[in-house]
Amino acid sequence: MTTILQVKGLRAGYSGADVLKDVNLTVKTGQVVALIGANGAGKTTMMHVVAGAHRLSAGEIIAAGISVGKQSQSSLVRAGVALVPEGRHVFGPMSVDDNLLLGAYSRKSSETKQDRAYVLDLFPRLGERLSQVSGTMSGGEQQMLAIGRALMARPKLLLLDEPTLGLAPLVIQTITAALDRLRKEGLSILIVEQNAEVALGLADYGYLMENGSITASGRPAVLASNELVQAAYLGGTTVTSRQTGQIGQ
Amino acid sequence: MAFDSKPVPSSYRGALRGMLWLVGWIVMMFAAANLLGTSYRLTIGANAAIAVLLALSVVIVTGFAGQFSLASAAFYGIGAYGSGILTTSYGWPPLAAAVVAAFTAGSVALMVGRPILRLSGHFLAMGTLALNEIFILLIVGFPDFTGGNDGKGGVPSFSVWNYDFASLQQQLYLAWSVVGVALYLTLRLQYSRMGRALAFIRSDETGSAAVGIDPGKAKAMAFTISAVFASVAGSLYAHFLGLVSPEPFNVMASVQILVIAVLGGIASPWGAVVGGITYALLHELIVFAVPRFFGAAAVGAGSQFVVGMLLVVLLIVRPQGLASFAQLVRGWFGRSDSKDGEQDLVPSTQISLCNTPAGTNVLKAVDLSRSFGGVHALSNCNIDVSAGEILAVIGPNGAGKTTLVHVLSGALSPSSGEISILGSNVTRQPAHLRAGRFGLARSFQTPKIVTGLSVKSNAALGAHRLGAMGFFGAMVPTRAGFREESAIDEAALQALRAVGLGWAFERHADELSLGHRRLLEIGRVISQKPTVILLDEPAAGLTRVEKEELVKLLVLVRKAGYGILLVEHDMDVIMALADRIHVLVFGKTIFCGSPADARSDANVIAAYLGTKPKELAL
Amino acid sequence: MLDTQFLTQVVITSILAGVVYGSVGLAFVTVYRVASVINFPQADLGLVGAFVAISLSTASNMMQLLGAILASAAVSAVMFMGVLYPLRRASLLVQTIALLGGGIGLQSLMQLQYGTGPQILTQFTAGNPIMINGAAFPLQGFWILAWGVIVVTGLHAFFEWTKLGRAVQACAIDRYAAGLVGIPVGLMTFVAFVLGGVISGVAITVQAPLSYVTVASGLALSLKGFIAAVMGGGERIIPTMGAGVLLGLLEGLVIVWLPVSLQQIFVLLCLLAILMFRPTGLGGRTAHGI
Repeated sequence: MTTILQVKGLRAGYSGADVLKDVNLTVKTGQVVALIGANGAGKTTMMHVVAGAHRLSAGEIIAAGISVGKQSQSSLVRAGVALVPEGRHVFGPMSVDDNLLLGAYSRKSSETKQDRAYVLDLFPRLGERLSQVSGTMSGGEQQMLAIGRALMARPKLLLLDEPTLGLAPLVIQTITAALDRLRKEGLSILIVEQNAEVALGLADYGYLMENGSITASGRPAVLASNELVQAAYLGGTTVTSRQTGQIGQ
Repeated sequence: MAFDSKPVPSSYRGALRGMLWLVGWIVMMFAAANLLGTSYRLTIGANAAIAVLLALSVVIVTGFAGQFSLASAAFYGIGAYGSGILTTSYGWPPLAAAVVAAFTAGSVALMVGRPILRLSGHFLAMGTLALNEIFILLIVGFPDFTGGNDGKGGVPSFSVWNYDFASLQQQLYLAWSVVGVALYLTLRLQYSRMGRALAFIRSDETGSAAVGIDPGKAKAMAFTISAVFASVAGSLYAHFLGLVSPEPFNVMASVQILVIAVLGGIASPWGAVVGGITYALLHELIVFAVPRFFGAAAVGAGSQFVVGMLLVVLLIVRPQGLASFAQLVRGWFGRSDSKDGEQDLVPSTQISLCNTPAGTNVLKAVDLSRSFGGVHALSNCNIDVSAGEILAVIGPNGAGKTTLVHVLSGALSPSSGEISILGSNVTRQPAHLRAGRFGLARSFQTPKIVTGLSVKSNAALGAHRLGAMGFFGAMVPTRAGFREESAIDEAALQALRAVGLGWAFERHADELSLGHRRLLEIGRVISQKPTVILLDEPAAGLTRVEKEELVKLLVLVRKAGYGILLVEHDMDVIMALADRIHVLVFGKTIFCGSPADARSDANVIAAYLGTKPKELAL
Repeated sequence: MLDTQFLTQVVITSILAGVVYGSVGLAFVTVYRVASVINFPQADLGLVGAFVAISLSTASNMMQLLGAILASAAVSAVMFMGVLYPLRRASLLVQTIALLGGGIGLQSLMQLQYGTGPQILTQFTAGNPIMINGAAFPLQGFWILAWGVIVVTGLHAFFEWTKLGRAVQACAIDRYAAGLVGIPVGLMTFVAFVLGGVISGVAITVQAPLSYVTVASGLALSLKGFIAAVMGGGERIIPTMGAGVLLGLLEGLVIVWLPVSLQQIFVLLCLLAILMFRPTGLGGRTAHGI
């Protein structure tokens, strides 16, 4: 299929209040799409809904051939949609290796060895700590593990919710490099980020979300020069790297 | 409009309102006593009062303080058996017996409360359940004293100085007068300094300790007061029914009492009134209907079945209870609209000045270490902060920054090292004393805001340590109490205006955005009149505009003379604020000095800043 | 009074009782490790199985056992669907209270159906007890011990060695993340619930021939099973069974020194002591936070 994710007229929210209002978004196969916007704009809700973790009130989402909402979350994962959630959510008391194996829950065990080798090649740091209890690792290592775990499901569409939130500049570089490699190898990615630089630096296409609706979209260069985006998220003059901090786990 | 932002009344208006309520209450009692008619209905009326009293006891310990106790029936039983045994076997006057019973219940609660309330959630429920079981076993195990399973009859009607509450009308008056007093005390508690403290404890115990509240003591006090209320209900029960037996005080009964409170709305005193009356009526309905379906012998089991199912259904369908309907109704009649104001972000009052002269050392940590198992989160850290300066602590994630803040504030104990505030060694002091007595104020990565309270009450929580009114002071109105509340009120408003949230003071805290919640937390920190301030990543998740406001505010706070330790990731914010920078990597200090030097230090760059990121492909 | 015959008898009875406590404790652990919730009416659910077995008085013992299994499985399923599932998004505390309510409803239904009197089951294998040291070891005891062994080995193997077992635990560690990995969390929780019901159901049924049961037995058994689970660390299999046996021994031996009326109080005081001083259990590993 040429389009891996199609969102049409999406409305979703929490008891009464709509957080997402009529959202339209497309990710073509092999594309990296960035969704940027301020905290509270609805980006995380969007990811939840696409991953099948939250119900839509109206509209349609077709992800990896599955109509989200009409089928269970597990069938969505089996079809190839994997979310790396905000705040990582690794299985703390379990080892790195167990986390990775659980990531492959939806797959046949004969294929997991290959996937595991791939993930360890992508993130050598994980290979050094296979038996470590994942809850004791640093934020950056947990982020790598969370991404690795999602990759173990051999997804066709990888959803990333704030992967660089709260990480130090050095670690962000490692992760961005890994994502870049995934992009080159043809994985379709939808990435949500408050750090517009990271997001637009990776993406082929970008959307700006404000108050639950898409207010601008286009190629990264165009989006970056958009006034709204500039005012809120770019700028910053002398510092070597900008971050927004972490909201907290 | 937030429900708890009652303006502190002038003594005149307050007294007048109080008078009106009192008259209204008396009129209601009179009406009930005379209009209810049959003795059957009068009995229901008295039973309802007891149910309300029991519900109020749950409201205090579970609704206000958030502690899940299944021991209410035991304290109810202490009151009943205390009054029953003392009046029948020893001929005591009923009033004295009731007082002694209540005192006993309170003492047991106080003794047992402290250790058992260290538990939480499931474990507390199980522990209190065990307590209730022990009570029943004691009753049944000493039949010579208590009448065992058969119970003890012949309890006389309640009397005070030869005035006998023998008729049903008199019992109704007695019961509802007691309920009136209990309701009054509970309402006063709800809107007091301790009431706010309990709300904070319920919401987040760690946060409450950080403003100087002693959670253990407050919870134990709430438990004790709750026990006393239940005991009084028990005494009334014994005198009305004329006999005591074990069954109404077993674990099942504790759950029934819980149901009454949930029915009304677990944190609402007026809800307890509605819930108690509703439950009494419901009980009669059950007693009427069950024999028709299940046979006469099934009343006990049948009513328990209905109670169990009622609880389940309530929790699924309407967990906030009947009281929430009142909110709905209030909503229909419109809220007083505070203008939607992002205005007034400009701080409009000055921040109250810090007493400590500039340059004095306010916080000092020497050789601070903290390990978790094999992981060394902090190794031999040396920190010092002076009044009027901002020390920024930066470092990669997992480097120990948040551990540092937790150890300094007392949320965690150090493995070794010493901490002192203004020269006093506080290493052994628990978090709430470091905050309350020594003036250490802190913010959290995720702001710990009590969403059930108004913005102003949240700010007033900061001023908790400036007050002294405890539980008794809260419940009994005194001139000093009034004055203290006014002072706290003023401090809260001032702090809110200082951070630019003056327009929001009557709003519900849960309406605030993340940026505003951060400001509110800082407002709370300011109203604490602290000696030293710790801020944990206050800029996280804020937009650029919000960050600029934050920086401006912190500059003002520094100008007012406070010493601040700022943990942050955002380099823009740090460069704009820091007088000195302390870099932590893997728990060790690799640099401490000026911001300019930090940026050019090779170690810092290698460990934290990294090389320039690739430019946007434009 | 302290002669070996008496002591041996006490020890035999206590160990057998302890295995039952341990089994109920393991039922708690099973549900807790998957759903993070303490299923307060755990023993009541099992009690239903025992009562159904008793009411099948004309059937063979195997049929009675089968009836117990099916009944406890069914009532656990109903409890889950009616109480826990509608509240799956609510806080753990609300779920706990709701389960309490459900437990009360269940107990009163049983009372309506069976009355308050004691009920007894005939033992499974006919025959005289085996004598040890002059004390009687009832044949039914073999059934109890057998079930204990089955449950311990089965659960241990399941949780430690199977992929499904680990997946199921992930549900309690982080329900949200488990869903993201494709684990059908609702189904897993349902299975754990039913499994817990069957574990306690068989345990209570096989011990019914040795001591009578009433509709009110559930509370005491739940409490003791809970003690065993807490003592075992809240989630470890073998320590929980061990703790159950230890508890049985403590309860039995204390009769030597204390009057019977205080025996149960002693047990409850043990629970309180454990809760207050070592909620992480005797195993030493920290239990999950609440």
